[in-house]
Amino acid sequence: MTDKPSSRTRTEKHNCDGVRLSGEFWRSGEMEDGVSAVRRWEDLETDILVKIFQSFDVFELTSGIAHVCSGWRLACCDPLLWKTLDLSMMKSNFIKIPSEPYVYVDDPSDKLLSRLLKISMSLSRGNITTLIFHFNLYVSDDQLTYTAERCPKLKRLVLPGWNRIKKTGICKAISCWKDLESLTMPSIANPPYFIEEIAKNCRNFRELKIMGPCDIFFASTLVAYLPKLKVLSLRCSMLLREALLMILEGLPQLEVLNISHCLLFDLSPSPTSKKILREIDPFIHDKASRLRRFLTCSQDTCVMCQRTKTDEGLLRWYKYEEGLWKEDEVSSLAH
Amino acid sequence: MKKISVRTSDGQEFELEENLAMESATIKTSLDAFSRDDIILLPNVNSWEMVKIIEFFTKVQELETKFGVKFMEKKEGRFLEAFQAEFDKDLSDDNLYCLLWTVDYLGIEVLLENLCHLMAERTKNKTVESCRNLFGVQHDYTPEEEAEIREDYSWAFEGPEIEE
Repeated sequence: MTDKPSSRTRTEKHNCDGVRLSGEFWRSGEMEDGVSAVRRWEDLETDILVKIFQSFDVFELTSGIAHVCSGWRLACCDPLLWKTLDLSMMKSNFIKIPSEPYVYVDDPSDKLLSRLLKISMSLSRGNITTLIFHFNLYVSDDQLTYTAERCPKLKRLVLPGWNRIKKTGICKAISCWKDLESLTMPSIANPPYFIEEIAKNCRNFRELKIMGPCDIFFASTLVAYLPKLKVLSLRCSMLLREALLMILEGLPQLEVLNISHCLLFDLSPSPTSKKILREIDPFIHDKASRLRRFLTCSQDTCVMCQRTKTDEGLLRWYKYEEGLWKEDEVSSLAH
Repeated sequence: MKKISVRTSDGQEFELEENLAMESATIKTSLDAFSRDDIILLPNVNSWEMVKIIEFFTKVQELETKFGVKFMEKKEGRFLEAFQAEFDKDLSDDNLYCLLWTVDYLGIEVLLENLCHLMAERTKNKTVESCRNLFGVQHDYTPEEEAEIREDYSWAFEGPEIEE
């Protein structure tokens, strides 16, 4: 059983393009031409290699297998392997610093990312449609624009930490992604320039997830610039009731809204305290009734609700299970 | 249950149950086009490979009976680890490689996925040179192409990263 079959060796399989290995088969006593299901041996090799490479992660794919020979390189570039580039297992080796950009990323960690991006962009040949970063991966301006320019067909993006990215950098990146439909981003202090850039460049933009509080400013920005927004997730954060109302009233094409595990609050007379609302009132429910899906959860027994409360509306994802941040009740926003 | 006869490249004949024979897209196409009483010639399949394939089908049926899950119907990509481990220790690198080709040619999707997974595990973490040996491929880049590729891998580091 473990002997090499005597009637055929590997060399034969590789070199032979003669009749015997032409991929045709015969009925007994007749010679028939191959029917349409038959494939050529040359195709088989690439097909098999692509199937094998499908179980490789991005580190393995970029480790040097594309260097073995031109046939392997061809298989490594197959679009099937590059629909999604998931870099969410990569975090920067960083420390927090008191001055801008408030993080310092060590050199080897940065170079590792550069290398990975360079090879991925080379092999993916513009076929990436989903790109996922970890929020603790502090990507530089150069790294972001390098990547953006080589992912023109991008439809879904989960942004990295962008402390090191300038406004010009992020806007340049957005301008490369004309087909962008779905985005997960952190909460930012000054959203208009960014949201406006999306509105200008991304005609099919329909889905947004914000990881962090959505205040009045953010809500009004969404209403002003993204009237065609269909899906919005604000889960696990502080949410001002007035902002929620603004969203419900100001986004006429909204179909799905996820405010699960949010700490809903109202402004109280005292500036130092907020009035936490234990329930969503009927007025809000009425406004939300036109939505196809209105996802809420504010139970005391819910672990995520408790965590949001403990973390005072700004969930510290690093404290919890690895990958927890990737979940979402809206399946198209989970990964 | 009707039996389908096949003859491998070295002249050996095997009988397969019809429903199992139909798992091979290639055999199925032939059966759809012609009479089921004829022997199907498979000049690209060796007898030892046929034995392995039949062994696989037998194993699947055992597992389906034991666990009550229709693995073949569900096209479940990954079988139980015990099954994979059993298949793995019997096959040398060369044999696994040959079997992969044959199963791909025969179009037996479920078995192919599992064999690719086995091959992937053997390929991971190997150096470029050992990959070449494993698959029997020649390094076929021109010096210019070679230089270009090394540049891909050497950016951001001094010197080439690839182990040769």
